[in-house]
Amino acid sequence: MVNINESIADYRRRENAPKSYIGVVLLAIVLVFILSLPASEIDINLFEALRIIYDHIMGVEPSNYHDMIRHRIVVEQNIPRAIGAICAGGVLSIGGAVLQNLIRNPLADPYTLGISSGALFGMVISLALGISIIPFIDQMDSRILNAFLFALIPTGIIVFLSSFKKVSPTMMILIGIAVMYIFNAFNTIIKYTTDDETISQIYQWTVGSVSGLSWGSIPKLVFALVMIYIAMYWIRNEIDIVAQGDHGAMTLGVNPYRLRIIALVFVSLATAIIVCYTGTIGFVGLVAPHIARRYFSSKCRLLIPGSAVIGALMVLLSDYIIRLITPNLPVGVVLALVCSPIFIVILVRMKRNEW
Amino acid sequence: MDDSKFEQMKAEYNSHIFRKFGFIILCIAFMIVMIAISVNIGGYQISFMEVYRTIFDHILGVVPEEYSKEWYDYQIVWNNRLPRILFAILSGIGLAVSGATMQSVMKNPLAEPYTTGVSSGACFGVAISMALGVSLFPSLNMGAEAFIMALIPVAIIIIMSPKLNNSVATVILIGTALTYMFNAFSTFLLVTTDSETLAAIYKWQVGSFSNITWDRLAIIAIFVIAGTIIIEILSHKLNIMTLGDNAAQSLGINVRRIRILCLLVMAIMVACIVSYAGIIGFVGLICPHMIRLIIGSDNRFLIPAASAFGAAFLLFSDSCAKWLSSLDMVPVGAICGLIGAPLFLFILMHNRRNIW
Amino acid sequence: MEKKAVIAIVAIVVVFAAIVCVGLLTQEKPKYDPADVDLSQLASADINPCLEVFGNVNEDLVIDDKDVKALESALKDGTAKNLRYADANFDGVVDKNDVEYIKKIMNASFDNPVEIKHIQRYSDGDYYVDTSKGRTTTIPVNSLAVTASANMLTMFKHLGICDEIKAVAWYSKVDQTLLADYQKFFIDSKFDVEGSPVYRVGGSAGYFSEEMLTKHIVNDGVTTLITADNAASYLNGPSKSYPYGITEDRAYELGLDVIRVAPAATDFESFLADVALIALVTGKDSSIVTDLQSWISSTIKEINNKLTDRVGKGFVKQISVGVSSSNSYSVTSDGKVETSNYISSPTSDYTKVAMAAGGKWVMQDYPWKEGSSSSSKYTDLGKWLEPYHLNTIIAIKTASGFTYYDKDATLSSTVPWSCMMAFSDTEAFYNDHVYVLSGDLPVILRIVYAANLLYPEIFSDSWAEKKNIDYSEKFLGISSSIIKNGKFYVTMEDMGL
Repeated sequence: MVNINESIADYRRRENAPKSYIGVVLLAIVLVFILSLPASEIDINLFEALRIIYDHIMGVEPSNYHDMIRHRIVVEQNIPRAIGAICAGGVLSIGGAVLQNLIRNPLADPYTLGISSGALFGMVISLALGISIIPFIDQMDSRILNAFLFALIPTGIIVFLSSFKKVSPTMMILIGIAVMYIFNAFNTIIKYTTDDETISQIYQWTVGSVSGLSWGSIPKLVFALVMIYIAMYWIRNEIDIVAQGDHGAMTLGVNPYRLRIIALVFVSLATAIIVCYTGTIGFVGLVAPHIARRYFSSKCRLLIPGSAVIGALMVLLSDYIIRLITPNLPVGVVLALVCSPIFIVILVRMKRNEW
Repeated sequence: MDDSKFEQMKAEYNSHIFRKFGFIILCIAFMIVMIAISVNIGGYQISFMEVYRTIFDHILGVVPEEYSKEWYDYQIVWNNRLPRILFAILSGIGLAVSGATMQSVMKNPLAEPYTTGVSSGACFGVAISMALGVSLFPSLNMGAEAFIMALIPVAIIIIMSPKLNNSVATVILIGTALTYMFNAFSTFLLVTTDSETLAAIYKWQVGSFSNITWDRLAIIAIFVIAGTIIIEILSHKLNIMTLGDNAAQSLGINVRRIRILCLLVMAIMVACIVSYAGIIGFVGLICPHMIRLIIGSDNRFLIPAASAFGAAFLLFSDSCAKWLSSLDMVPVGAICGLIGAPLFLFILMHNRRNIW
Repeated sequence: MEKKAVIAIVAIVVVFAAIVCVGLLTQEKPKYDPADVDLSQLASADINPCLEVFGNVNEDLVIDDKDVKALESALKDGTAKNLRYADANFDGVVDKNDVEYIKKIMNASFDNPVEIKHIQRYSDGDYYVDTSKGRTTTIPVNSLAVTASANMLTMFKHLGICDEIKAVAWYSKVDQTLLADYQKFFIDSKFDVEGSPVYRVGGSAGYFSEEMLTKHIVNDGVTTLITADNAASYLNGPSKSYPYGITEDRAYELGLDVIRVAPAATDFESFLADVALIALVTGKDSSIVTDLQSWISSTIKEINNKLTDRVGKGFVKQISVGVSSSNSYSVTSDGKVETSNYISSPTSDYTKVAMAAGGKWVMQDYPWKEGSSSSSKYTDLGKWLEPYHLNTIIAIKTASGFTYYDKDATLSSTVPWSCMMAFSDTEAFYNDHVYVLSGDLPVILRIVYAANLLYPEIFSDSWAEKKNIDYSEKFLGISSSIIKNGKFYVTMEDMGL
C-alpha cells in the first residue's frame, strides 16, 4: 500500500527543492555585487572601494583629482551600474518567462514586441527633430520620457487591434514585429538625414550597456523590477493555466485574451523603463527563462523568481567581467559569448520535452 | 448526395484553387510591370525610348563606339540597372521561399531564414575577412568567406540534430543561441579594428543590391532556382508533416531526413544571397505570413506564391529606394519595412481565417 | 541533487573570487614617466618635394626647359638610365623621343592634350603600401570629379580651382566651416531644375555612384577624378575592401583618369608634390608651390628652434588627439555595426600634428592594431585614459557646426560638443585643457595653432594669428579681415562644458 504521508512528503520536497537553489543564486548575486564594486580600468582594490563608500556615507568629500575620480567611479558609477544590471536582468527575464508561457512560443522575449525600436524612435525624434511629447521639461528627461512613451506604442497598437477582434497569441507577436519594422525604417531614414553629432549621440545609447547609468535612474529601474515582479507573481496561477491552452483555460474560468493583454501591458511598461536607460540588452530575456525552467520548475510560482535571479546574475556577471577586461565591449557580448555555449549544452542534455 | 450539391462543391473548390492561381499570376504580372518601370529609374538620365533601344541593340549584338553616349547608356542599363533588378528578384524569391519553408518545417510562426544563424555566420565571415585581411578568393569580394561561414551554424545544427530529442523547438533555440554566439564573435573581432574597416562592414551589413555582376548573378540564380524547385517537390511531404511527426512517420515519411534536407537547401539559398546583398530582414518573416493569410497554408501553392510575391515585393522596394535617393542613401530594408508592415497589418485586420 | 548544485555554485563563486584577487594583486600600473620634449618627433624643416611625373628629369617641382637640358646632357653622358623620371613617354626606353615628349608636355593645351604618367600612391591607413604603380592622365584638364573633403577643397583653394569641379562626393550636408566658394557643391538638388547646380555624385567620402558619375561624364565632360590616397575607403583601389560604388579600375574603364593625393598629410614633401601635380594637371601656375615650400620650411624651423630652447627645463605636454564624427563605427552587442567616437592612433596624421607642435604621445601600451589607421574606438567614457595622465586633449574636427571663418555666427546647440564629454574623466578635462581645432586649416597652420595651444607661453595667440593671416593672404587668397574675424579653435568654455 502506498504510504500517503511519504508520497506527500516526497512531493513537497520536490516542489520546494528549487527554493533553496534560488537562495543559492541570490547569494551568488550578492557576492558578485560586492566583488564588482572596485572593478574598473583604474586600479582600485576592494578595500579601497569599501573605504570610499564608507567615507561617502560619513559625508567626507574627496579633495584632489585622484580621489575625486576614484570616488566618482566607485560611488557614482559602479554601484548604480551593478544595481541597474540586476534590475535589467530581472525585468527582462521575468518578461521573457511570462511571454513565453502566455504566447506558448519558445522564441518570445520582451523585445520581439517592438519595444526597443519604439524607444529608439522616441529618442531619435527628440534628438533630431526636437519634438517632445510633453513640453517644459528639461532636455535629458524629455528624451527619456519620449523614449518611454514611444516604446509603448507597439503594445498600444496590439491592445487596440485586439479590441476589434480576438487576436491569437502568435498574431500578437507578429503585430509587434511589424510595428518594430516600421519604427526601424523610420529610424534608418532619419539617421540618414541628420548630422553627425546627433547620430553619434543616438547610437551611443543603443549600444546596450549598463555603463551609462547614474543614481538618478536607479529608483525608476528598481520600481520597474518591483512592479513587474509583484504584478506577475499576483497572476502566477492564471498564467500557468493559460500556458496549458486557451480552451482549457476558458473552461477553468480564466479569460486568456484579457490575461494576455494585462500581462503584455505590465511587461511592456517595465521593459520600456529599462530600455530607456540601458538600451537593448538582448539574450537575457530569451535564455534565462529556459534555464530557469530546466533547473527550477515550469510553474510560475518558482519560474518567476527563478528566472529573475538567473537573469540578474547573468547580466551582473557579464558586466563585471567586462569591467575587468576592457570597457570597450557592450555587456551583451560577454553575455552571449559565455552563456550561449552553456545554453546549448543545457538544451542538448534536456531530457524532458518542455515544448 | 445529389448532383447539384456535388456541382456546388466542385465550383467552390475550383474558385478556391482559382484564387490561389490568380494571386500568383497577379504577382508575376506586377513584377513584370515593375521591371519595365525600374529600368528607367536611376541617377543617370536616360529617356524611356533610349532605354529600350539600348536593350534591344545589345540583344541584337550591336556594339556602340567606346565612350560615346550610346556606350555609356549601355554601361548603365546593362551593367548597373538590369543586374540589380534581377538580383532583387532572385533575393525576393530566395528569402520568401526560405521563410515559408522555415515556418512550415519548424512549425513556428516566428521562424525566419536567419533563425538558424545564417546571417550572423555571414557577418562573422565578413568580419574575419575584413579585420584580419585574409581573403580566400579576393575576386569574389568577401563572397566566399561570407558564404562558408554562413553555413557553419547550420552545419552545427545538422550535426547535432541526432542528439536532440526530435523537438523542433530545441532546434530553433539552438539556432538562436548560435546567432547570439556568432554575433559576439564578430563583436570581439571588430572591437579592435579601425574605422575604415568598420565602415566597409557596415555598408555590407545594411543591405543593398548594387554590388552585383553578371557572373555572380548566374551562380546565385542557379542556387536559388534549384533550391526553390527542390522545395516545391518536397512541398507535398511538408503538408503531411504538419499533421505531426508521429502521424507523418506512420504515413511513410522520414521526417528527420526531410527536415535536414530542407534546412540545408534553405541555408545554401540564403547564404549565397546574404553574401552579396547583406542582411535584409522582413521579407523572410512577414511575407510568408501575408501570403498565408491570403491563400492558406497549402505548401504546394505557398511556395510558388512566396516566390512570386517575394520577388515582386522586393523589386518594388528596391525601385522605391532607388527612386528616393539616387545616391543609394536609403537602404532597401527600411523601405521594405515601411511598405510591408502596414500592408501586413491591413491584411491581418481584414482576414477571416485563423492560421496560427 | 540539491547538494551538488549548491556545491557547484559555491565552487564557481570561490574560484571567481580567487581569480579576481590574483588579478588585482598582479596588475601593473602603466608608468607615468614625465620626460622632456622628444625632439625626434618634431617635423623636419628640410623639405625637398619632388613632382613625381615621368618627364621631371631634375626632380624639382615643374616640367620645364631645365628638364630638357638635363636629359640632353644625361643622354650625352650616358647617365640617363640613372634618372628616375627620365622616361617621359613611358615606353621603357630613355632616348631622344623622351626629350621631344617633354617638350610636348610643356606645350600641352586643350587643343593639344598630352598623356603623362605619374606615380600613384596608395595607403592602407597610415603608411604607404604601394608607391610603384604609375597611372596615366591626359592633361590639361578642366572638368574634374573630386572627393570634397574639407582638406581636399582647401588644397584646391591654394591653386584657385573651383569652377573646374563638376562633380563631388561627400556625405554631409553643407559644411558651414568650409570656404564660401565651395558651399555651392552641397546644395542638394534632386530634380535637375534649369539653372540649379547639381554636383553631388556620392553620398559619402569614397562613394561615387556610377550612374550619377556617368551623367556628369556625358553632360559635363568630366575626364579626371581626384580622390584621397586611402585605398581602403576611397574608390577601393587595389585593396580587399568591399566595393561600394565604383572602383579605380572601373573608373578607368569608364574613361576617367584617377589621381590620388593626400591633402591632410603631415608629410610636407608629399603634400607639396601633390599640389604641384594638380597644378600641372589643371594647367595652373605652379610657382606657388615653391613659395609654399619656403614658407612651411621656415615656420617649422622657427617652431623647432623655440622648442629646442626649452629642452632641459623639465616640461612636457602629454597629448591625446581624438576626432569624433558619425563616420566612425563601433560594434554593438548583437554584432551590428553602429557609430561612435574614436581616438587617433600614433601613426595618424592628426596625432603627428600635435607631436610636431611639441606634444608627447604616451599611449604606447594601448592595444593598437598593427598598422591601424587613423582611428580606434571606444564607447565608454574617458576613464580609461586616466592612467596616461594626459594634460591636454586636442581634437581636430570638420563640420562641427561652428563656423571657423566667422566667429560671430551662431554657435549651434551643445549637441555637437557632447561627444567631447567622452573625455570627461581625464585630467585634461578637469583642468579645462580640451580643445577642438579646425580641420579646415591647412596642415601647417594646424601645427601652428597646436603649438599655440600646447605652449601658450612660447607661442602666443598673436603669433599664431599673424601666421594665419600671412599664409591665408599669400596662398589662400583670404583677406586678413576674415581671418581676424574667425575663430580657429574652440575651448571648453565655448563648448559650454
